[in-house]
Amino acid sequence: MAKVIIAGDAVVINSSIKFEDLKAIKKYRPEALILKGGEDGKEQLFKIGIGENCGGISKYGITFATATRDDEKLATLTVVDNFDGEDASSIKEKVADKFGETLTNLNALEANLPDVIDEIETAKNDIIENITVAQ
Amino acid sequence: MNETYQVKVVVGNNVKRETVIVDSTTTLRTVLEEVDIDYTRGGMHLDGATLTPGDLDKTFSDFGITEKCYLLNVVKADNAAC
Repeated sequence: MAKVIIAGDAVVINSSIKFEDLKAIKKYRPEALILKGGEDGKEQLFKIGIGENCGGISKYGITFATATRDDEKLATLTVVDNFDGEDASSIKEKVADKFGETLTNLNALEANLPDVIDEIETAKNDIIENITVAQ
Repeated sequence: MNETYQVKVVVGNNVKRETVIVDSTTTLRTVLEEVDIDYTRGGMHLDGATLTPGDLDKTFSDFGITEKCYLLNVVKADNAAC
């Protein structure tokens, strides 16, 4: 489940998935980063994106561009808001209200990603096992 | 640094429309080709405004799209001959 840390006016959204794993999913199974629904179940509702320079967040998706600096290297996004004069509980309420829908969709998508990562790893390992370097 | 966010695009033509979510740094042409919309005939419109040559290689953020938009190819049928 994604976690949110607030420091000053910065809102840091940490994914539960490693940034490098998200990049691998985007490369090998990009459809796994799209949440679908609607009447026919095919309408795109939400997407996790990988940015090159700077990520962002909108009603329709979240784009990660960096990893946390700790050993976990989770995908992370920092956005700035104005919490001037507000206490901790009202800040939490404001963040939950502003990003709640996005975080709910992000959590729904992330729940399936560990299995996707395993599938990619397995497929990749199978390919590597069948590669022979003759010379 | 350019912020990259996700935008919802309703893309289509007279007979087909599809909703996709793409990076704001994606060009209009890329989306049209991914959804397989023929843009060689008719007029291209972004949120009702007519696009001109060169616009298809601009990104959604270039046009200031921040959340959602309509990208449509409209082919006007010829009038019946008298």
